[in-house]
Amino acid sequence: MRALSEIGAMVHKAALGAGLPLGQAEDLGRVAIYLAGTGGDVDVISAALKDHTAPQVVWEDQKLRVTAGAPGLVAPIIVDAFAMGITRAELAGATQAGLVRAFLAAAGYDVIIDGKAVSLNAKMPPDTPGGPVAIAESIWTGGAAFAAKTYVPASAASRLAGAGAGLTDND
Amino acid sequence: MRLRRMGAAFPTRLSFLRTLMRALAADHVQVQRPIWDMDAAGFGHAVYTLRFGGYDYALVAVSSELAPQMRTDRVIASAWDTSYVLYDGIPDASEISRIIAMAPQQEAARFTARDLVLSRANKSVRLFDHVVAALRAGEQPDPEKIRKTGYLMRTTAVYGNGKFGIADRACIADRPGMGGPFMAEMLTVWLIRGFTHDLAEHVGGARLSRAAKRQLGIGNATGLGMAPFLVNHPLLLDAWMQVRETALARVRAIPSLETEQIETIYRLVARTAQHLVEWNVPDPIAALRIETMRREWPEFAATLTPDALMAATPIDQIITSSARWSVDTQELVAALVLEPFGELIDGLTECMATPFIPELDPAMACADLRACIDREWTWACAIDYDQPDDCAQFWYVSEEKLEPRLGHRQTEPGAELETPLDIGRQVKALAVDLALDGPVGQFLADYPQHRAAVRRVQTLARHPYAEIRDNLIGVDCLPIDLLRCKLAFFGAAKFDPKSDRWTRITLAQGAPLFDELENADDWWLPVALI
Repeated sequence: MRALSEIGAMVHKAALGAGLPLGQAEDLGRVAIYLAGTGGDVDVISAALKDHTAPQVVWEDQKLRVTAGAPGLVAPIIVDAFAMGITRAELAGATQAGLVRAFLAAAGYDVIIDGKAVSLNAKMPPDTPGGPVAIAESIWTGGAAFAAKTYVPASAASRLAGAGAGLTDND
Repeated sequence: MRLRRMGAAFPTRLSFLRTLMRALAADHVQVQRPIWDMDAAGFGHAVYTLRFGGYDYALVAVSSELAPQMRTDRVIASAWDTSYVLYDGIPDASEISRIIAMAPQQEAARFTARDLVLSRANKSVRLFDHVVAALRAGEQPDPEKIRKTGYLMRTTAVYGNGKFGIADRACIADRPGMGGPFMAEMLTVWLIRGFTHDLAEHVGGARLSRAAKRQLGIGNATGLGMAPFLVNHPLLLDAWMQVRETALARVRAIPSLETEQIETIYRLVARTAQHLVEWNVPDPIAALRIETMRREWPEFAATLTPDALMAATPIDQIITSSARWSVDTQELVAALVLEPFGELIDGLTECMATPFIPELDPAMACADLRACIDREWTWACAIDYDQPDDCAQFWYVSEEKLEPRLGHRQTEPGAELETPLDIGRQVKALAVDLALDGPVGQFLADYPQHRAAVRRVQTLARHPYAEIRDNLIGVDCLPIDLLRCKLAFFGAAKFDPKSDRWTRITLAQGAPLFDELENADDWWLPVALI
């Protein structure tokens, strides 16, 4: 079993390790907590860590059209668009749909997704996540592997000066 | 809000441990010790129980033999003298067995949602051994030795909120008494403090005097692991500071003082002077700052004439006049003037926790965001982060023990993996790219790398104490300032820095013992009674 805050922290670190910007890593951590704590499919987070394609979007009247982009970068843009009053989006591909739905649900947007078309159904308070939860070990280890990409290998300087303290305390 | 002032923070009656003591007293909490299974050398386990706010809690304490070469306050340790779990409910035998097996392993083990807090503590070997030897000889320990160290053990980590599988904070945040920040953690350290007294008495075979026990708090050794917290929790930092500043505003607005309040101020001023005398540390910079306070305090005290305290809005006059002293003395004065006015300010502590997290407003016009930056972030945008001194340090997480550390960019490897605590640099980069028109949401679609910085700027516009207005990667950034600010909010005193990124402190010194909760609130800046 995993605590929700543990999952959020891991996904946050994993997203940074995967090369996503800090803001998107923060968002992914929050959405991971929402998904895990409401019975959602956390695997969409894992998939998002593997794609860094820069987002390309076209702002149209009452619609956002996505022409390219990694799910982890596109989903926050769509949430922003809905918060700005837009009610429809067109995804670049159906593979973006899982994470986009999760981001929108965590923000309180109930949407209908038909292929690449996303449309607002209702705005409502999101469900409150509850833990602890069981998640697949493969998801955890996959995230841990990405998180490890942010860790700096130890050196003599890092062991002592980096932490600023001695190594034994028998006083 | 600058690092230097944060690094001069003192505990106040708003500090979390003080708040917890008042709540325990109001609830007439009784601490029991149903299990004490220790051998003659003090190795074994104990269970303490209490009912608080309608819920049962238990501290399971495990004491183990530890070779001296294994004893380190650092998070790199893998074994400790004692380990602890604050348990949700009353553990049965199987749960106690589980905790006895798991708690000594700390980060290497997995825990359950019944476990609320995980902690460990090492003996202050010299004092623990002295206390035990004295008790075995039929004597009380040397008061001077107790005053000098002030605790029998130091905690080296107090983990809450989901770490290693323990319960999320949300599981207990709605419970009476547990809603404030770090309440479960503070309850744990107070219970650990009582356990250290019991263990010394058990091994020594005699009772410590009540005065000695009251003087013996619980130590803590804190390093860089705590430093990023304030940066990563801007709304919490804002809530803590808002409460402090609101409390100060309330006491400054008091039109006049009653005789009893004046007497309390005089008593606390004298106590503070004695506290400063008893606060001795080897670090030369810290010692010099304490010496300055010792010199300034009598001069400050001399300004508190009867006429001054009987004048109109006297607290406002005191705070205004305190600008003449060092930053440390200013902060000490601020903590002092809060102390006599619990009825006026204690209720504010209910606002120190926040369920909210920073939210991004994509509909904000870029021009408005620019105005926010121009208004609140000049300190960040004026810095040239390409200059070696202005990016001299980088925060990172060590692969070895997953602990935050701080490196020198010019001389150490790993800067490409730095932890993004460079908030000022991020906001300056945002300011360079920020468009002049359109909503923020559209700007971020083109510049997704600025999402975090936009959120910080918008948050600060609504929460004025959410941001530390200093360069956290500059050559002058001293992590000890971050640590002290947070620890003072916990209620820590007797700061004893071991470097610019590592400090020892004392918690709960002077705090009520388990059977003294009816006298729960008058222990701000305690002084020795032995």
